[in-house]
Amino acid sequence: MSEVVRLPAVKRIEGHGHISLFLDDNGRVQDAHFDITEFRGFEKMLLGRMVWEMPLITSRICGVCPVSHHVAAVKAVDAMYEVKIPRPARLLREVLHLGAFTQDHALHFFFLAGPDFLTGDGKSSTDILGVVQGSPELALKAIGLRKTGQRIVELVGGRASHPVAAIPGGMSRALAPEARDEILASVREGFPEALAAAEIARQATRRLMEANPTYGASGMPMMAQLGPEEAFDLYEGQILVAAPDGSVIERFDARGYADHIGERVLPNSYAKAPYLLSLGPEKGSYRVGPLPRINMTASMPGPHSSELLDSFRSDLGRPVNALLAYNWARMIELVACYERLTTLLEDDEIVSDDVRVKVERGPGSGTAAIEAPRGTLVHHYEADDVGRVTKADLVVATTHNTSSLDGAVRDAALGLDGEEATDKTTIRRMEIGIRAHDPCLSCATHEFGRMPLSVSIVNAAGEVLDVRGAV
Amino acid sequence: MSKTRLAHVVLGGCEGCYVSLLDAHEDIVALLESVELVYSPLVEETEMQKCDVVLVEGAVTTAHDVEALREARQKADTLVGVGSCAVLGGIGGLRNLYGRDEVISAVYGDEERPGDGLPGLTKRVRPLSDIVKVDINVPGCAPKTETLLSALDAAIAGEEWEMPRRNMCEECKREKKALLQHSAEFVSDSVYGLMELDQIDPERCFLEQGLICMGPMTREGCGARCTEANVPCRGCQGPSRLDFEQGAKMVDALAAVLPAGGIMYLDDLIGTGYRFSMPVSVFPSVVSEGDDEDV
Repeated sequence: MSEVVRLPAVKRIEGHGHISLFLDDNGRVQDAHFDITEFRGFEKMLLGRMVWEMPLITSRICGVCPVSHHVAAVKAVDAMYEVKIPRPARLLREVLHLGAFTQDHALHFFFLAGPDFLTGDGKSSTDILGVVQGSPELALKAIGLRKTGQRIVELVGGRASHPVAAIPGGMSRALAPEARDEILASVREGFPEALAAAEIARQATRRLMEANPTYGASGMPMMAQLGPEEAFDLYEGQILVAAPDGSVIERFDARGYADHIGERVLPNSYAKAPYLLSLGPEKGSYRVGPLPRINMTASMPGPHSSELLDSFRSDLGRPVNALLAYNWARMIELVACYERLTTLLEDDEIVSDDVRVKVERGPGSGTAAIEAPRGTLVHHYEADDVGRVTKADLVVATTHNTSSLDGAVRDAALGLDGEEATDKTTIRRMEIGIRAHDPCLSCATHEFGRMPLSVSIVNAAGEVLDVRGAV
Repeated sequence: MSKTRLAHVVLGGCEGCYVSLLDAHEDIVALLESVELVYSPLVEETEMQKCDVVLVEGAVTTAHDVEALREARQKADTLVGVGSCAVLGGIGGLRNLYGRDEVISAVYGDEERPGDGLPGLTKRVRPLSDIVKVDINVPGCAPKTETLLSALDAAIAGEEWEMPRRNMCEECKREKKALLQHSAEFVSDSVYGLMELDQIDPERCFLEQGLICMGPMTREGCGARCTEANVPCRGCQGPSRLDFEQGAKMVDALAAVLPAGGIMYLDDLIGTGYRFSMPVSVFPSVVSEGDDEDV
């Protein structure tokens, strides 16, 4: 292997990352990786903390999806103490989770990935400023969808940033009837906007895929947690793994994750790469997130999302392996969240005062998984007699996608020479492919932290020839 | 008059502060129209630009952070440290309890290490003010949207901006009774976790219910949203004065209220008392033997 090319920082992703291109003796790209450059060490920092504090501490792994960690952690502690929470608390937690999901998906679609294809008329800049200045009506849609989602998180979780109300045993407080009325009204009012976003995503995805017909289209195994009978369920269920042809090859409960998922250390990244133990580190890479969920799910939570799923499948087939379809899948999920939120909020038990059971501290071990906006998220804890954490293990969505992210880069650059591989069009394609996953480096680097995209070029002797872009 | 040139730099953190800024919702449009956003995670520009105001969130955790922070200082007239990671080192500062090698081993094992080409980790997680002069500090994890906007307005106008000075109890609506009376008894028989209470009383001070609440040792300005949501304060705004030891002050304040043995054995002094302020405390950072020179 001959040269490594480091490209400029990838922007409009949650965090800091870097692309390395490895050249062969003829100076052509023979391998490429997307690397994560920050480290925080959460799994060590959690040791010695009280286990019931995990939902409050791990939410700080990510400012974009704090609710995912908050809810995964609280479910893991419930599992540790074998707690069955009251139904109203279960409803509230799911509302909290879905509210966060909608704001996250809207943020990504319109402000992070969206500029790649929503305002690509060559006139406006391809970033948030381009959206705000070039398409103010799109910006207002995004803002409206985010605002509804964040208001739900605030009213149910206590704060919009790093919410606090999910506690082992249930919720710290009930939802006030006025708050329920407000949320339900805004969800109903916002529903047409969610549908409109799905339509925008459908058209944009078709344009993107027509312009890049073979890009990022090779399949790999997929993972998602689904509800009973493979229903779309972001809160709880069983973890399924499907082969690239869509057939289910593994099925397990979150508590068995360590028997199915291994992790390997990567030479150039602070992120570790999970793989399926059954297939081994070389072949066992897989993908998570909206596209696998939409591929693997058998039924959606309402008529509109069901219809959207049908049209997705009739247009693109099942399963869809093309990375660029992630954006459309993401907006179908947005509609599904709105439908599910409506069902949950119309249930009168949602305002019941019966929101918690008392939980006693003690030793134990607990694991739980939820579907975070970017994919399956697993939290595992062990605690001693007084409830102090003795072991913590977190497998987060973006790290599951490590190989798929590498593939997005490799697919754009393989076989090109150093110049071609770092020209604007190629980098742009890599970035679109990376962003389609909505990688969150804060999460991937809970162990780690963030990702600016820069690219380095490494020659066959392993020497770094060039580093381009912001660090 | 030309528009203020604004930049936003993210160091070691979670990006929750920029989400809090985005939570200004419609007001973001007006903000983006009133300034020239020259560098941010949200815009394409990949090089830090010369600017009037830079918002820096996150703590200093890697060699890259040190460089980026120095560059930000050099290129900006006013540097605003946003969030508890920037101001206090923040939650990632709990890493300072362990040597750098120890943390890396805990994550990757002893066999393999992520290697060359990655920015090296600093020995300790540090607040911005350890490296450069910070003009305005806005603590909070994350700071409230309105607080962020008010600090930003001040920075744009070239005005000073002060953190509030009292403690969080001043904002909290809960009632203190036993705490205000002379008594030879502790107000609680033990120290509990929130999940262990039979009932969580939404009106009464958490300390009186036997829970550790960081309100008395924590700067106000958060709006007491956690205690309002029936969850005790965890001190995310940092100590009410930067020269206070937040965790030590917790022990001091609680010794009169909760049985000391309970605090020692039934809760986590460090992880609760210093959750957000470890890097600015006198608590010694652990530096493992064999750690290389700091970056």
